[in-house]
Amino acid sequence: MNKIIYTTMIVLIALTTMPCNGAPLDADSLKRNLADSISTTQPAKRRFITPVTAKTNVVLPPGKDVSDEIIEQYITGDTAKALIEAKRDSLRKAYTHYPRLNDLAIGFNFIDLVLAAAGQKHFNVDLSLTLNMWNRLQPVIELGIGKAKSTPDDMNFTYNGKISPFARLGVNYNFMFKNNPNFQALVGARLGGSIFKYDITNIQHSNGYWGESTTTSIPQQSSQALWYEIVGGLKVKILRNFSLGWFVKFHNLISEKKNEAGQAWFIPGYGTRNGSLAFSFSAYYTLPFHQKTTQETETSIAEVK
Amino acid sequence: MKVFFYTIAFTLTLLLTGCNDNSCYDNGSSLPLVRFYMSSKDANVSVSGVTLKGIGAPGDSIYASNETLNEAYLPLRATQKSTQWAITLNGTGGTTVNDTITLDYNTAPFFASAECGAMFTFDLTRAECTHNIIDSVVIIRKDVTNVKAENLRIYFRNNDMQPIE
Repeated sequence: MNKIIYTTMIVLIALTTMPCNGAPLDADSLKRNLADSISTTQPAKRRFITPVTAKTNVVLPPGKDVSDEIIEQYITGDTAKALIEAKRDSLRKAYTHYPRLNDLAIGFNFIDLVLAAAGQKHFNVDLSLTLNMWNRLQPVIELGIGKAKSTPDDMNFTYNGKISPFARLGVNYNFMFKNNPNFQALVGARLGGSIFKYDITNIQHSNGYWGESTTTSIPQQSSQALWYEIVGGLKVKILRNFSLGWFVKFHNLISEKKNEAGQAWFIPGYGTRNGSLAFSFSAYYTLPFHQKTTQETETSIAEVK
Repeated sequence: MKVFFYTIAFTLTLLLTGCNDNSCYDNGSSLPLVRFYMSSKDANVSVSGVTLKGIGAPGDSIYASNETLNEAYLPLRATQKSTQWAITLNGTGGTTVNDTITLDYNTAPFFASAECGAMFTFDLTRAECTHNIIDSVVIIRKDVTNVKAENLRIYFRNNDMQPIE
């Protein structure tokens, strides 16, 4: 067997070392080549390889946090489906899915009280209940009262909006639903309504040409209004269960009862007529429905980060 | 995050408290707008040599004196149910022609807006006149508010008046 190999190698070496022009090698060159080839083609020493056992049929223990469902799929042999599920499962860990009823926030909008103390002639205050569902959707109900009393400079009347109730219903959407509920970026919509009363007193009327001057009033006016609001804002945890949040509101009247003696200047819950923008600033107290879940969530988010 | 929250809240508060429009774009009181017409052509005309005077005005003060007008605001008396105006046309030969317009109405206080204030509005019920130079007075819009709108038309008989183009 070895003789055949050696012979074949000699022939091949002779062929490969032949000049390209096809001229035969001389006898000395051929001898040198043969000597070289023989010296480099000594039989190799026998190699010893440690045998290895195949792992193909070994079931590795599942990784930490792999759900039982995925493990079951591996065991039953549906590996492809298990891999897909495992990938989805990892995504679920990347942003926690919060429970349907995550927490309830009680809010108090107090910005108008501050502005009233600074000289504003009207105010709205309201209490709100915000249900945080999945840390994403937040149905909101706001109940409050509004009041106005104003005698504008250089004007001829006193507007007296009596304390009247209002209500708003709506929903928020939390853009930061993947994150901790302590920080929320919200947009939403509201539908508001109010039934209210007002007087306009001390109306000074004078006509320079006729030389007449008279005082009158528009008493006991009542009206009702319905409006919508598009809101956007932020809510941030300050301390423990306390948060602060503000909203910018674009609002517009949908309907309103108009009186013969003119329209109301101030609508409780809506504000004054001039301008389509409003602002609220509220303090919130949050009641979590799942204290453990929230803590676990914070821990898992921290781990992921 | 908290710094961001407070910064935006403060900025928006400043913006929102500073962007209210407090202008009144209508009249500050309710005045009936009277336009002058030529009866033969039913066209708005410019009348020269017009003198307007409220009958009963203190000191017989003159509202407009020998002016060229095609329209005029005639203030009504809020404390009365009727107001009379005297119209005098000065002719080219030194002649004058007088007519009297009587307007009856109901009054009511009205709150226009915080910017324009509160005022009286009038509901015109009757318009009459003498017929020396005036052919007729017609109520076009009976509710007189602070919104500029034509309330009355006075039709003159004089065919020499120049229509407004």
